[in-house]
Amino acid sequence: MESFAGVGLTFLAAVLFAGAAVVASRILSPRGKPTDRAKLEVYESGVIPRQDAHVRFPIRFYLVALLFLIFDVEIAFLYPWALRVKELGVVGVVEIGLFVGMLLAAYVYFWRRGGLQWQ
Amino acid sequence: MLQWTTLSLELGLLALALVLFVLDLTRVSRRLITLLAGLGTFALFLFSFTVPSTGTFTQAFILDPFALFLKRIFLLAALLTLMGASTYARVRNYTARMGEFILLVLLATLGAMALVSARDFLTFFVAFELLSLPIYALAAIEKGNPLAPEGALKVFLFGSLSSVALFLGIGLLYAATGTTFWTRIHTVLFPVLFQLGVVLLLVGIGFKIAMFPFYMWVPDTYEAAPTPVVAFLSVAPKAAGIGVLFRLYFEFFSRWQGDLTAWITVLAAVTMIAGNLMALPQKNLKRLLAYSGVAHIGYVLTAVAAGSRFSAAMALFYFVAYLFSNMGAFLAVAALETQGVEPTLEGSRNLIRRSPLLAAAFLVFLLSLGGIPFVLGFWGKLYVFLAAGKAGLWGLVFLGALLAVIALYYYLNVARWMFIVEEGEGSLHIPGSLLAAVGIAAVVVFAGGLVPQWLVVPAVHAVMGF
Repeated sequence: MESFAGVGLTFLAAVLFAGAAVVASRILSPRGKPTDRAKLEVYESGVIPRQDAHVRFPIRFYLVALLFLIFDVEIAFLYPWALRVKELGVVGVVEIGLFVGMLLAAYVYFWRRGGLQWQ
Repeated sequence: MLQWTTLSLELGLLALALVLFVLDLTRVSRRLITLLAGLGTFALFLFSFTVPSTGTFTQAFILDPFALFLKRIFLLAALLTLMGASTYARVRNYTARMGEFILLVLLATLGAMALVSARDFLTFFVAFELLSLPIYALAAIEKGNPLAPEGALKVFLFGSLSSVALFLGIGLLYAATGTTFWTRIHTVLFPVLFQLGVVLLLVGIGFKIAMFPFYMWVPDTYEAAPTPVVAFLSVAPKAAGIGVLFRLYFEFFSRWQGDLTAWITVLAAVTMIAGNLMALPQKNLKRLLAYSGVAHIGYVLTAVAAGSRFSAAMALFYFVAYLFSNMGAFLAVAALETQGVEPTLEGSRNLIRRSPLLAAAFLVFLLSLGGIPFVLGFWGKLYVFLAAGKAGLWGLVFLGALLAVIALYYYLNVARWMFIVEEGEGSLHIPGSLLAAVGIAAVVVFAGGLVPQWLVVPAVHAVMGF
C-alpha cells in the first residue's frame, strides 16, 4: 500500500494543477467578445494554422514509414545487445542474427514488391 | 538452461512461415508454395506427437498436454484453410497475394499456439496480438471485393477495442498484484482494481471468442471476408480463447478470484440464446454459420461454467468436433462460391442433384452442428452437457437442449433447400483440393461419430495436468 502513496500524491498534484489552471483562467480572463482574431486560435501564441488537418497526401508515405519502422526496430534492439555482447556470448549473436534476419526478410519483401520504386 | 525443445513446434512453424515467405519472393510457383505450406503444416502436426508433452520455457511459457491438444487443433485448422485457399484465391483473383496469405495464416496459427501456452500476462498479450493482427489483414486480402474493406474494418475496430480492454485489464491486474506472472501472485493488494481487471480480461477474451454481447462484428465480417479465412477465423481464435480461459480458470481465477460460475453461467445462457435466435431468420449461409458459431460458443461456455477438469476435457473434444464440422461447412460454402453460386439458401437449392458429393458432405456437417446422433457433433454436445450436469448446472443443460432443438430448424432448413427443393439447374464441378478438404472433414465427422472414444480418451488424458 505504502509504495503506491507516491503515485497517489502525483495524481493529486496533477488534478490540483490542472484544476487550478482552468479556474484561474476563468477568473482572470477578460469578459465579453474577444477583441482580437488571435484570441480565437487554438494556440494563441503558437504557429498559425494554415489549413484543415484532413490533408490528402500520397499513400507512398505510409510505405516509407513502414520501411523506417523495419530499421528503427532493428536499431532499438541492436544497441542494448551491443552493450552486453560479451556477456550474452554465442547465444546472443545467434539470437540477434535471427532477429535481423527476420527484419531483413521484411526488407527484401518490401524491395521485391516494388516499395522502393517511387514512380 | 533454457529448454528450447519446449518451443520446438512454435519455432518449426515460424521457420516454415519465414522460409515460405522468402520463397514467395523468388520464382518458385505459388502452387508449389501452397503445397509446401500444407505439407509443412501437416508435418508439424505429425511432429507434435513426438515432442515431449511437458516442459516450460522460463516461467512465461508452459507446454502441457492441454496446450499440445489445442496446438494440434490449430495446426489442423491451418491445414484445412490452406487446402481450400488456393482454388478460392484463383477464382476470387487474389492469387498474387497467396504468399502473404500463407504467411498470415501461419503467423496467426503461431499466435494461437503461443496463447494457449502463456502463463504470464505479457506473453499472453503478445500472443493475443499475434493471433489478431494477421486476421485483420486476412479479412481484407480480397481487395477487389467492395464488401471486403467493411468486413475487415469491423473486425479491426472491434479487435483493437478488445486489445485495449485486455491491456487495461492486464495493467490493473499488475497494479493490484505486482506481477504479470499469474503463478507468482502472493497477495492481492487492491481487490477493487483486481475485480475490474478480471472483468476487462473477460471482455477482451469475449470479443475474440464472439461471446454475447461482443459478437456484433461476426456476421458482417464473416459475410465479407474470403470464406477459407472465415473457416479459420471461426475455429482457431475461439479455441484459443476458450483454451486460455480454462487455463486462467484453473491456475488463476480458482486461486484468486473465487467463484466465477454464476457469471459464466449467465454469459453462456445469453450467448446460446442470442446465437440461436439470430441464426433463425438468416438467408445467407455465411451469416447463418456465423450466428450458429456464436451459439456453439455458448455451448462451450457451459463447460467453462462447470469449471471442472472433466468439463475442460469435454470442451477440448467439443472443439475437435466443431473444428471439422464448422470448417467443413465453411469450406463447402467456399466450394459453392468457386462455382459462382451465391452462398445463400436459394443458391444452394437442389444441390443434391447438382453435386451429390458436396451435398452429402454438407448434410453430415449440418447434422453434426445440429447435434443429431450419431455424428461427431452429437457426442460433443452430449459430453459438454454431461459435464455441466455433473457440476449441477441443470438449468443450463435444459436451456441448451431446448435451444439445440430450435437450432435444428435452421440447420435442417439448409438441408431442405439442398435436398427437397427441386428447381436448381446445372451440375457443379467442385475443384479437387476443396473437395478433398471437405471430404476429409466429412469422413472425420462421420467416422468420429461412430468411435468417439478415440477422441474423448486423448482429450481426457490432456487435462490430467490441471
